[in-house]
Amino acid sequence: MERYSLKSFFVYVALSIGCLIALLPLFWMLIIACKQQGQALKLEFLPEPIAITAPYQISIGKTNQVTLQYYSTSAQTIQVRASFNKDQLFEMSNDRGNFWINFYDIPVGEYEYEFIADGIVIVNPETKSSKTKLQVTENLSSNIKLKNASQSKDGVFTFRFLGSGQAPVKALLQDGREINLTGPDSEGYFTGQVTDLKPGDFSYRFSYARSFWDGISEIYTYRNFVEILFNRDFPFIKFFLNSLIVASLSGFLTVSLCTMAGYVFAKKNFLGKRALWSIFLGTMLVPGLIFMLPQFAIVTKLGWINSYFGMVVPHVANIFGLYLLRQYIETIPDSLFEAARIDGASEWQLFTKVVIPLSMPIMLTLFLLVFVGQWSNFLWQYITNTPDSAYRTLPVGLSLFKGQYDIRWEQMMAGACFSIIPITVLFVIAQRFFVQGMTSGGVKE
Amino acid sequence: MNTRPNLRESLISYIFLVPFLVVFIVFLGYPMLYSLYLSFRSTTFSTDWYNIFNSMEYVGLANYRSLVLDTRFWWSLGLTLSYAVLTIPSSIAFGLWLALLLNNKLKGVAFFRSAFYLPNVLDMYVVGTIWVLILSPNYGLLDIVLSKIGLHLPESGLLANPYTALATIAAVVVIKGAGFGMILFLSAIQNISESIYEAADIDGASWWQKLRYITLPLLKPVILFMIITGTMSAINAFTEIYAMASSKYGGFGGPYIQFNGESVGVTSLSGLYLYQLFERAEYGKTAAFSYLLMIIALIISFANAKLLKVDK
Amino acid sequence: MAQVEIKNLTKIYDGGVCAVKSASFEVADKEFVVLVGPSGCGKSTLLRMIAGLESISKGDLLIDGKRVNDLPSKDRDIAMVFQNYALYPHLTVYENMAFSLKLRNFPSNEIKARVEEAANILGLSEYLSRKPRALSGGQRQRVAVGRAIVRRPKVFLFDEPLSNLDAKMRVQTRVELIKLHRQLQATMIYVTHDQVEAMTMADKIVVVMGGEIQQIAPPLKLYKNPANKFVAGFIGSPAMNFLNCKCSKESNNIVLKAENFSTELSGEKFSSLSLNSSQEVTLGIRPEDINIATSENSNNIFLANVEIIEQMGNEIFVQLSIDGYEITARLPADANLRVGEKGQFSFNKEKCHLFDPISEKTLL
Repeated sequence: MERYSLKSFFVYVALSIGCLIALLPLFWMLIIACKQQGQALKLEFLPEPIAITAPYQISIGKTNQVTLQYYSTSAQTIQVRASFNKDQLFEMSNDRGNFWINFYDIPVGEYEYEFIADGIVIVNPETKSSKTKLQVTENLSSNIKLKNASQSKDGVFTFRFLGSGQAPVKALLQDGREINLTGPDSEGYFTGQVTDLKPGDFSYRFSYARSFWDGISEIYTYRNFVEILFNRDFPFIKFFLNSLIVASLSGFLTVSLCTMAGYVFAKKNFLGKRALWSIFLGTMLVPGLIFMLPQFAIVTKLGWINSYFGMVVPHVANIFGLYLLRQYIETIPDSLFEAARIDGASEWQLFTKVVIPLSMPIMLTLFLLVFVGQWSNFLWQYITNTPDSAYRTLPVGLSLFKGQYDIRWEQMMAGACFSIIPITVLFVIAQRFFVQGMTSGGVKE
Repeated sequence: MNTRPNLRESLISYIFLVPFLVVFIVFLGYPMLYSLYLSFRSTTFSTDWYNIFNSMEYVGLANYRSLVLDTRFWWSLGLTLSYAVLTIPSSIAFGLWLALLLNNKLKGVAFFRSAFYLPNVLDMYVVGTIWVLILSPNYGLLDIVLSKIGLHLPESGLLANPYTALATIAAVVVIKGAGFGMILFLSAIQNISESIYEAADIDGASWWQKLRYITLPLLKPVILFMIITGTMSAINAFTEIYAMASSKYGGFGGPYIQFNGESVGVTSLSGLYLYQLFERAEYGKTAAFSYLLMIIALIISFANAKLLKVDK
Repeated sequence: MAQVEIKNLTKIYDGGVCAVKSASFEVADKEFVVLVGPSGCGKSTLLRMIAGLESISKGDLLIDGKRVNDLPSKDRDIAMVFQNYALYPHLTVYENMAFSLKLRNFPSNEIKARVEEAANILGLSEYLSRKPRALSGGQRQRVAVGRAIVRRPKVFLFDEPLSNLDAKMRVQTRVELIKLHRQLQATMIYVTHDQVEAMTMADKIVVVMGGEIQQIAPPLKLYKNPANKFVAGFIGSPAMNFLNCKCSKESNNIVLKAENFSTELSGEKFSSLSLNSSQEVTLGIRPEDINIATSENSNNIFLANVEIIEQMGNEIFVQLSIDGYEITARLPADANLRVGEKGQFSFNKEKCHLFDPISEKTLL
């Protein structure tokens, strides 16, 4: 009956909600991957016109934290020689890709420091000196232009905040007071003062107006993708290529072997055919995990750990693929083969000139199924690669990345993108084949 | 095709078959036997660690015995069973429900069909990791959405709570895998001739009666298939748990509870337990466990086929 | 009592396609009515509207005087036999026939009695525990009929039930259905595209074409007095021959002149027609009404070429040509004719028909 009634409406609603939930990971991943550092766990998608910063903590009258940051794409090690550390060298850590950063607790005062990259002292071309002055006040200091450059001196606490060029900017104090800041000054800072802070710990925030686009750039960035691709320890571009190679190779080999075997089971009669087929089918009932250990043993013995062979070859004898091909080739009329034979074709030519051209659709389908299956074959790729192997695939790389102490969710999602986006694109282009493969290999009564 | 196979044809057939057979025997056939062989052996003090597999010693049924006596073994089997019970009926119901929804000839149905199937082809590890993010307490999407209607996730989140961890993972897996069942059910339903439903209309069947007496019985083969695949997935379950299970102790057995005097991980399914044995290089036990699992799997498959009275 | 009345029933699909245009007819209690027409003429749609499988766009459907347009199928007290039988593949023959009764919560002994009774009538008693896939086409068809019988409905509906059977089975089953009708004394509405089925089975035939009813009449009347050219050409096999002719009034008789064919139609029948000179008419002659010219029927002799002779055993179908026109004749097997020769033939003018070439309605 043809009524576009209430029923249709509910169907659409139900489907849309279900769809949203099912694809939620996909959307979430994309959003997080584009977020700035530290923004992952905040539910902020569209910038508010008035933004409030996270709280800043200071200790009035004590030491304060200094951030030293150095940017280098090529250096292997960065060291700092600073007068607040008695001119001793210490290493900076690189856990943000090309940003080397360290935090130090230093008593208030004036100091000098210089950077040393791979043993070579870095000289500032403008000042022709390697040493930079550093003023440590009762507030955050840094050798970079920080958003919050407030300082305390002689009992007066001056707020200095790097706004995005627009008023109003306010300082929100722990005790509830709001101070309006004036500015911007020549460097872009907004300032304001407070004179009655007691010594001890104290926290404050800033609220500032920002334009929509400034807000967007504060929340989102493309940098995660760049950093994750060229990360030294976890080069996702390499992982991606490995996954690609493993999946393609698997697909190609599996299709070749299964087509040859499928042809024989479909069209030829040979000794032990039925027995062999039962054995193959029986194997399908066995959980794959059973094979994990002995396959690992064999792969180890063959020396195929940390190689493409180890990841690809063991799964190439795919019984399901064999089944698919056999079903399909069975539907090719015998008369075609007979005609070809009369035309003088040899056995091999029968295969290449009759079977292969006519089986293209199912071969493509199998290729896609194997490709996608191997792309996400986590466990096997995990155990056949050591953690520093050059052959790690994407899921493995991602798990190792996650295993670090400090999980950088944004970058991790960027890495995840490289796994999911290509498959999604592939799927959208070739959906027909996926669905077809499912239904033809599925249940036959 | 029923004449006796002649030698020439057999020879040619085997030539085509050789690549497949070789890989099969080396990586599937032989391992099954090798596994059995290994299950009777164990690594001992005198094992040469560079040549482990060749230098394990014969220990008879010791591996099997220690497995059967190990609480963790039974615990992992029990967990696998509950995981299967959680995932299989819900996958079937969910897939069927989706297929019934999509069976209407509305526009845009094809879009939804692909959209639901997409999560199925995605990498389980990555998807699982993303769900961890979504499900995190206090910051995750779910918590924030719930807080808007006044609820809150438990303090340490769903995944770290021993009572909800497994169910949560099961839910994620079912959502991700719904497309699979949906497509199977959809094509089976569409194979049922329309006139049968018309005849039922005339015979006086209501919507519910049609579902119960016509659709469902005709879908039995699909349901059986899904039960068997579901069982396989439960026994093989590793990736989803590895991605999502958390534990304060750094491992991935999931949050711990007490069972029979030992603290066991709440997501320590058989697949995971197998891996743990493997990691500890207790290869003999790993092999023994594999074998026991295989026997269980075979029994379940046959039992199901008999139960639903469908010939494979 | 099971009387069905259709008043101006119309079916318009989305997109404006009109499948049935204002159909009206009546099916009396215990009558066997056949809806016949070429494929796509709307007869199945009409049946499905009666069944409740298609919604009614306009008009009224009354069963026993009660308007049932909006009643769902199951409440109309009808049973239907489908073209492809529509048996439930997972149920046995017994369960297939019992299905509707089970749904209506009949007690199981009542169900058993009815099913066995139907099985007896149809000769299915030994197949009760088989599933449809283990039955032949003819057996499946009988199960479909059995399923309808156990319902003891007011009206039986048949949707081309014999089309999926082979020729021999079809003839056999046709006879069985006629017997069934007599035995059950039930009202039956039957749809088919085969005019032979219509002619042999029906009490009354409704001829449908292009969504419109062409004529409603018992078989013989349809044969003898077709309402228009379509009905005339549809009923009877081989089909009626049609010749485009022009009148000329000569000597108070109507003379028809075709290309090389001229005949004089005289008598009361013809003189009551008021035809003008040089009016165009279509002359219809059934093959069985054409004979080889003898001295007795010398009035309507025409010369024709014998093109093809088809041997039927007891008679022959002869394809004649009269310089451009091809007509078919049914002649006794012993007619002395040879292909390629000319012969003299005549037709029975008492049994010929005249049609208006434009409206195609019967003039005579």
